[in-house]
Amino acid sequence: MNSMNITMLVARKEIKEILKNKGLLFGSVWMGGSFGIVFSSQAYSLDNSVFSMALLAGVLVGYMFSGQVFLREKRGGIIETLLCTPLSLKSVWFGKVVGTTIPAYLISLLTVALVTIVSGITLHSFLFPSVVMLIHIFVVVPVFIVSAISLMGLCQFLFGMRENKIMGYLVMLGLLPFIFPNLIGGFIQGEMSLVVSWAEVAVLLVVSVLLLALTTYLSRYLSKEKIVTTIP
Amino acid sequence: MIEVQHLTKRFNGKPVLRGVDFQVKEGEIFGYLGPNGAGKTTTMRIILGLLKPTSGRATVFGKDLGDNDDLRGRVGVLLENDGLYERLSAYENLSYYAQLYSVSNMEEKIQNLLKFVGLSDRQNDKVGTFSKGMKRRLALARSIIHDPDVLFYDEPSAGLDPEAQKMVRDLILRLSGEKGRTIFVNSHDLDEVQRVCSRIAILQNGEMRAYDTVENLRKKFSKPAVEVTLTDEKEAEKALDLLNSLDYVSECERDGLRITATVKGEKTSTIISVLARDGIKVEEAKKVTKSLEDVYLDIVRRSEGET
Repeated sequence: MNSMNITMLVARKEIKEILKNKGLLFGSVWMGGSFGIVFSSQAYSLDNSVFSMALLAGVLVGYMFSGQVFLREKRGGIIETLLCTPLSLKSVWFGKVVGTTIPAYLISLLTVALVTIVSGITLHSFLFPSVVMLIHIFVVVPVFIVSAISLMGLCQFLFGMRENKIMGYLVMLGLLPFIFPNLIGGFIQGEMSLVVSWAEVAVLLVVSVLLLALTTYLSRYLSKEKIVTTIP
Repeated sequence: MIEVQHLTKRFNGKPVLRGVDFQVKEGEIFGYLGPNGAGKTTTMRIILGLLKPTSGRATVFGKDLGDNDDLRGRVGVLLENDGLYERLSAYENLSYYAQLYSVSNMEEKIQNLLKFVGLSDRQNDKVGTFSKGMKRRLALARSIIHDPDVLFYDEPSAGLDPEAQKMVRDLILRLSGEKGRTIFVNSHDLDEVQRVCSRIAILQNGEMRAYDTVENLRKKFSKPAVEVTLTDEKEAEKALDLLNSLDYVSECERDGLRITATVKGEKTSTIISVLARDGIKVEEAKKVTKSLEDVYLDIVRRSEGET
């Protein structure tokens, strides 16, 4: 079996498990949906809301899914059996990243659709995201989500349970201000007047690619021994 | 087949394995025994390529499993954790692993295995709804889905009821007998090891304390002993005093009307004649052979005494 088939085999299994975890699925759809609805009602600028929400929903839902895909499998010790199969460690990790990114990105798209629809209803006129925003949604957001999930998955594999708990708090608390610079700026200024520019989208793309490069570099520290010795 | 040479492993400077050596021959069922924390699981993890040794070598078919993805396709494992996905059905679990191992005739093999472990009627149920015994049976089926040459079983019948334990033992014997598979069994269950393993190794504090066939270990560690049952308390007391006074009786234990006397050399038959000569009435007398459990406990206690 070639590496792409192996990756897709692992990814399909992860997607299937996420779909079968009704609680997790409902929670993530609810979170994505409620973000979409709540923030669309404050949408002074559709671009700003979509810019932030697409990333926020994707990364947070990705974090929730990675908890099942990487951490739960490690905590339960199932990963040990998987590492005894002919799969290489990189294939396991990459397959899991793909299997987590696809549903997380789909929920991100759901959030974007809700922001667009609900803000259209509130404003009594349907607006469509600009071209730059479409580039953001279909290019930058998936790259950012895959980078974030790769890094989170790597940390979940490398670290012990206590460190992973700390990482969870960091993701929840620390990541938000970085994802919403526009939103925070808008609140500080009392209004959301910023319109997303090409430069902002390009900067975010560069950040995503750098994050991916950093994760790829850090993945050299990933070893079976690191995973096995941090199983609780 | 499986070769472990001068294996040492340290975690944060603390030695867990101290120069372990053994070999498992093709077609052999090898039992790896030891108390908790002896280093059994660490040894198995090193052989499986999950951990790197600090020094020494562990190979299967002459190669390191950790560096050979394809070679791992010839190895089946059943670790402490069943390695099953609770949200997937029994069928989906087997199907996933069958695909990972690129199994041909997947459908037929899955159905045969489900039938073999008695889970055909539950194949579409989520594994999360299964009892521990059912999960272990399914995990056993998973471990042989790709028809491996070597099997590594870590406590295969832990937590199972006696019927399921027997099924596991029969399965291990059948897997070894039918296709000459090599099976490495990590176990606490001495009865299980005694019934299925041809050779065993006993590990304690990371060191090998014994390594031989069950029969040879019994011979090596057993001292000849005689168990006599007396007719009443008075007779038992008299017999105990008499046996303790004999210079070739090294140890004497009384349990109610039963006395077990460990004798030096080949003097077991003389015990009965000595008792009879003194007019002590013996209800029953028999030569005692040590069980693997006794041998194991002897070795472990002796080692504890040394350390």
